[in-house]
Amino acid sequence: MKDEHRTGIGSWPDDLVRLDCELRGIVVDERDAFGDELRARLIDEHRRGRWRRTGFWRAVPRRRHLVAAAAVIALLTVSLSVPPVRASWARLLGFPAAGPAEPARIAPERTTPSSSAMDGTGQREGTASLTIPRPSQGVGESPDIAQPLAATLPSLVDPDEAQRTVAEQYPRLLQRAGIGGTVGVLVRVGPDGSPGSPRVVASSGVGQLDTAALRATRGLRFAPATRGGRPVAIWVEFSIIFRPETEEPRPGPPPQETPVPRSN
Amino acid sequence: MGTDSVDAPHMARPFAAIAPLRRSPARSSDPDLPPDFEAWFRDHREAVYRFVRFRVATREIAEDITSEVFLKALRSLRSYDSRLSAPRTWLFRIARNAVTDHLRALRRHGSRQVSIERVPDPASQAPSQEDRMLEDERKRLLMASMATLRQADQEILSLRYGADLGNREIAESLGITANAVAVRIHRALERLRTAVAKQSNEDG
Repeated sequence: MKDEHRTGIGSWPDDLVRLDCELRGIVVDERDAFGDELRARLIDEHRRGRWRRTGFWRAVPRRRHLVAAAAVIALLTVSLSVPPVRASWARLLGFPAAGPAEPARIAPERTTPSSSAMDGTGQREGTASLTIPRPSQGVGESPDIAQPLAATLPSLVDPDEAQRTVAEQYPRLLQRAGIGGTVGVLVRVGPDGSPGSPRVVASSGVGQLDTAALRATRGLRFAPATRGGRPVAIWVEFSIIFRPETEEPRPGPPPQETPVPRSN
Repeated sequence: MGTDSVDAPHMARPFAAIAPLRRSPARSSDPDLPPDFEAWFRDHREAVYRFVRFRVATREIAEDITSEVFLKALRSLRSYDSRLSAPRTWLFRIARNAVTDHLRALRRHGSRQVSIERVPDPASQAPSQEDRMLEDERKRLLMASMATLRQADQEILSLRYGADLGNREIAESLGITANAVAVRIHRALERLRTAVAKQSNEDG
């Protein structure tokens, strides 16, 4: 017994000193084999290495449902960062920005062929016009335009200038011959608004008109699409309509053989 | 029971619990446990067991809790920081928590941890069978009375008389000063004295 144990005990009353001695006289011995048994158990535990599994990993088996939920959330989060998956989610949830359902936002009405154009009324002759540029689906960087979070889509900087650009590309010979048609064009509008990689997705049936449409497309100027306030590249699809000079305006729906402009 | 007859066997025991850490290096033929842990186990196992045995009802429970203490210490060996506490202090902290958890579980199940059956293993140094019976009866009375004290009193008395720790070592374990330990032990003994008198009257 250490001396410290008895520090101050001299001032205790006799009965407390006697009690102290009695308590110190209580001997609690281990069972003889206990020390060896416990040591063997500790060695076994140490060898099996279970003691290394501490903290989080020890809790995993008991919290497997939480781990599974965390894994699902992480998977969803990662998948949403992949544009095609995000676009799929947007389509699945019917997010309006994902489809071409609201093309009217993209271009002013006067840049589009009105329904009267289809029946041949109210249209200037010998001119060409543009339909509404609309987001393309499934081509090139189209997933970008399916972004549910897309703030704006590309639009023509100057619709009137665009009309003039298209008209300039309309071959005179074809105009005078009364040959017109509608060309569906797909083009990539870059972050700077410049059109690139134009391609014909719906031919007019006249190669020269298709070529003219591609040339006209390269001359267009767009305000780029933006997402989160930042300009982004995007693919858009629209129609260029070439109307021949010789076509006479007439009421009613046009006959099938008459090359009248049609919008997509 | 005279003082000498009680002190003699007690003082004769080697109290490895108060030996400094790494006083003796781990045996080279015993590489089965981490060397530090091997030394802790050898030096502090008995003290931990006696502390636990003072707090719980049976030897079997004391063995289970002591095993749990060292298994837990082995599993969390990497988290032990020698700058924060001595190994003995760390082990007794684990032991105190283990005992507290055990007593809490007993209370949760409606059991009283206080039990008249809780009698420490008697020392066998009594000179005669009659003296030994008287000594056992006195120890039974002391332990039964101690079991009626509040937990804080039982804990500090178990650290003192069970684990045989000094004031400074108890102070480290409890996070209080050595003077406070002395005061608490004195008050706990006073309450124990009252409890013993009350228990004696009840026993008739």
